[in-house]
Amino acid sequence: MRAVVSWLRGSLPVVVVVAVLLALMYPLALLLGMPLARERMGNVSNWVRGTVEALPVADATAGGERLPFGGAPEVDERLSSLERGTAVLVRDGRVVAAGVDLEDGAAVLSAPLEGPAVTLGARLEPLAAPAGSPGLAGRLHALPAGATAGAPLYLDGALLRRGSVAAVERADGVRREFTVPGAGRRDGDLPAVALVAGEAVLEGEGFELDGDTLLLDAPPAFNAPVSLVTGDYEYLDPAAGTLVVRAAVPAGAELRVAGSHVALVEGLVGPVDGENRTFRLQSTPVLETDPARVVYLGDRPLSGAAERPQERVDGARATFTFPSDRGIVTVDGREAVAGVDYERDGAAVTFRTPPPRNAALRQHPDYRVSDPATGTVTLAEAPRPGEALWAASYTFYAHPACGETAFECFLGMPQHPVPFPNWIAERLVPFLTAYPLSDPRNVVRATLYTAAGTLVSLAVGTVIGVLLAVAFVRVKPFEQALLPWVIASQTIPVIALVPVLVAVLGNLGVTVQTSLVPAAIVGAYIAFFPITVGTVTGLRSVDPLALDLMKAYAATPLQSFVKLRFPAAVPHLFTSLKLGAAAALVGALVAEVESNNRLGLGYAIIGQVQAGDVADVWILLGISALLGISLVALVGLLQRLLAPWQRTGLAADQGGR
Amino acid sequence: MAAGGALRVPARTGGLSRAGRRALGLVALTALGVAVAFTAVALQRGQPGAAGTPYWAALLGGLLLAVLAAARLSLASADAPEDPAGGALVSRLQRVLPVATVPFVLLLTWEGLVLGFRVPPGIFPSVASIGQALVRSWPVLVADAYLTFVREVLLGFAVGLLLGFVAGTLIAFSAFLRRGFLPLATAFGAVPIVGLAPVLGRALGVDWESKAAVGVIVTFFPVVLNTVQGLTSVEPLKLELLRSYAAKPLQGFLALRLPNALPYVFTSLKVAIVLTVVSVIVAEFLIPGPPSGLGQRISLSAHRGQFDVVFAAIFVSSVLSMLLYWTVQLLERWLLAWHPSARGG
Repeated sequence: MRAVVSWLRGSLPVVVVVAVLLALMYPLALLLGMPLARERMGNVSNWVRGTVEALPVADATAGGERLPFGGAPEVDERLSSLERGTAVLVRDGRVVAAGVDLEDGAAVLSAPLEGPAVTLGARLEPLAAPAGSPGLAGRLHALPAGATAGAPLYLDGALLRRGSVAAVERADGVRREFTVPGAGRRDGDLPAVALVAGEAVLEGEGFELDGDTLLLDAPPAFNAPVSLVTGDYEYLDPAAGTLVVRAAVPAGAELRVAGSHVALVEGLVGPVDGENRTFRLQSTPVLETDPARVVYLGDRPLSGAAERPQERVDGARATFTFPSDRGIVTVDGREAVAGVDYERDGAAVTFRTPPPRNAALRQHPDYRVSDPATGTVTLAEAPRPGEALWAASYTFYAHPACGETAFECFLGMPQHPVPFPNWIAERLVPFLTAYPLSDPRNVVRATLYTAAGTLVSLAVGTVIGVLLAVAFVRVKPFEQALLPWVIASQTIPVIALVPVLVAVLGNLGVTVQTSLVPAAIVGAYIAFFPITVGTVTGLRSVDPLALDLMKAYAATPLQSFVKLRFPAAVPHLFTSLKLGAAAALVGALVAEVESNNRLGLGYAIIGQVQAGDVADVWILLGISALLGISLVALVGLLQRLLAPWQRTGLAADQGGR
Repeated sequence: MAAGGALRVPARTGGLSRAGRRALGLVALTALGVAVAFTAVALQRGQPGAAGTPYWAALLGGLLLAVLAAARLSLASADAPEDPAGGALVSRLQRVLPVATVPFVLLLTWEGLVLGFRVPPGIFPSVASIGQALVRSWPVLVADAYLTFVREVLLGFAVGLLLGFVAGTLIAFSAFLRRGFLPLATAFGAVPIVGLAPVLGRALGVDWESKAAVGVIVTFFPVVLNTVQGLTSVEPLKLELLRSYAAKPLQGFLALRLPNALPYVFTSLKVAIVLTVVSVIVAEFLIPGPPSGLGQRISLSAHRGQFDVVFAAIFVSSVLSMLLYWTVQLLERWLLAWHPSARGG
């Protein structure tokens, strides 16, 4: 008990320092990781994209001066963020009313609408439920002939919303678990509906839902799309017009597709005074080259395309011909002013000063996005007063994909510079037990393999080092001639020799990828040096008086070597063996990395750095440090067994001084 | 070169003793052996096909002659009571000749084997082709060496030395830190650079910063350990003397502990500078970044099978790291001229 207490007291400083160092890893991880996270967050190409589309009337029976829109949370949010008096009502691409105000999700018109807001078309035809999924009865429908996929659907006059979210993982033919972000948020006790490879699957009849995780009964085929219906319905096959509705349609209910209908679209913000040409989209930032963006001026769709000149921009030419004879001309993204920078003659444009060589010369016939960050568009010609400028659909960046705050992005980073210590602790057991011991990828097995390589190289290095030391001590000129070159050999970066070694060994018929030979040679090359130096010191540390005594007893040189010099050298030998063991480990690891030996720890480290989790890399780092310490401890144990008369090398060093 | 340097010493050739004449004869034999081997290699260079028996005989014979003559000279007794001048000449030659002969013998053996067996340059280069590669890629190698040595090695070494010394001083004056940190420092020292370099590359990016950080860490731990040892292993008697003079702690530090620690620090510096060079080059291998720096040059050339460039880069890095080692040694001699180890020679 007392021994335990005193041991604890003795190791307290180490524990404290380790705890402080581990605690310091948190600020370090943040210090190095947060700038990367901010960078990730600032780059809009990593953001989640949202689309702005026309909203159908929520109630098919509505009419008169108040038309309800919205009804779903995300739609209501969008409507409430619209600027006052900018909403536009359109019917089949024609403006019904512009500058409309919204009040509690309903558009307030100054004059009553002519005719009904929605003319409902034919009823959808119910489809028979497939065998084995009786729950799908009343949920599968097909559009009537002539109806286009994408037109709004009304169930007893109430708008149904289409929507589904795809699984994060790709189907590989084996996987059964899929993650769908937001699947855990459920409304009511409606069973969930998944779409797997174009087939509807009902919860409980083919998959189970646990939080955001989808567990399918059978793995979908390779690359089959997997998604979860989050809206009221989703198309199974848009071309065939088949769709699945989440809530089964009762027998008497009318599920109809809309024909001509009024929809609410977003008006662009800006004064329409006949002079202003710049307007702003309301959800920003927007995609500069967005194929889905459709902007209308009144009833006319505008082209957002950019035209290229027929001629090459070679720095000398000043006149260029474009496909159309109007539009905004830009040079490297900057707008050129007609009459100042260039003169127009039909489709030909002549610059005062030729544009620089290879400049990006473009003509935007109708409008261009002049600042994607603020959603600003510039029109070629100012709209006349009374004309409505509106966007039928466009894509914008909604929010960073990694999270709302920089810290969330930091936590979600795939590759952290430095991990939090608790991540390392969490990964420890799964990482070590990821593969069975018989698998070459098992970490314990790789560690033992590297340990074996190190011990072999240490043995080779010890033999060479001791022989060299004996030769140096016995034959003085030998030392004079060779020692400078032995020292010089250690200034050669040994890793540089490994490729040469691999080439030579490969030529000699050694399969370097599975052989211990490169590790043995490289480790021995590094390890022999401290052993030589230590042994020479040890062999020379003999008391001259003792040597004289041997001479007086007429001992042969061999006898005095074996009985006097060698025992004197043993403590030094072990001290240098400890240095050599650490060096040999480095050599073995280096050799493994450079010879692509996948069986050892070195390759595991490099492989993890390139592909794996940073916590795994730190675990491997700890393992390799532990391996180094254990090898040194092993040498110490050997010393106790073989040379029990000398407890430690340090004591011997001090005794020798 | 060696023979020429030694010949200049005693001008009175006529008055040389038998021992002196014999020594000069052995020098001449060594030179002859080297010359024969060199001629054999030079003649073989122009020949197509594998070498014949005369080549091997000349090469091995020449090398054997040089080695035996040099060995015989170094084993000869320099004691010549009747002829002090001759004895001095012999001992001088003994010091110079073997050291000078070894590189000739090694290089000629290398070149002789490569040329004799017609080893393809894609497997092992000849000395001559390495020399050509050195001249051919000199500007590239100089740029690489600048990056590796000035940016990475020297910066890392300087920062590591500074941090290590400060940390060592703090640790030396705190018994708690000494007990808590020193065992850990040993453990950290056991982290192989192969594992550390990729982690630093991940943390600091693949540019030169991460490689300089490798240099910092490699330098840091030996400096800390030796600084602590040097600052704490002061003779108690001297400490008591200072106390009896009522010296302040700072005075005691400057007058006694710091001078006592310097030899220890320099010992660690000599280890660290060579280790830093090797580690930085290993780091350049393991953190594939921009294709510059000696380690990257070696790695890229090796992957292309240009082993002559590999060896040229190795040569440059070895010479530079030896120069750095000597600079540290010189600095040590200059700063520690008062120390018994320097005075004793």
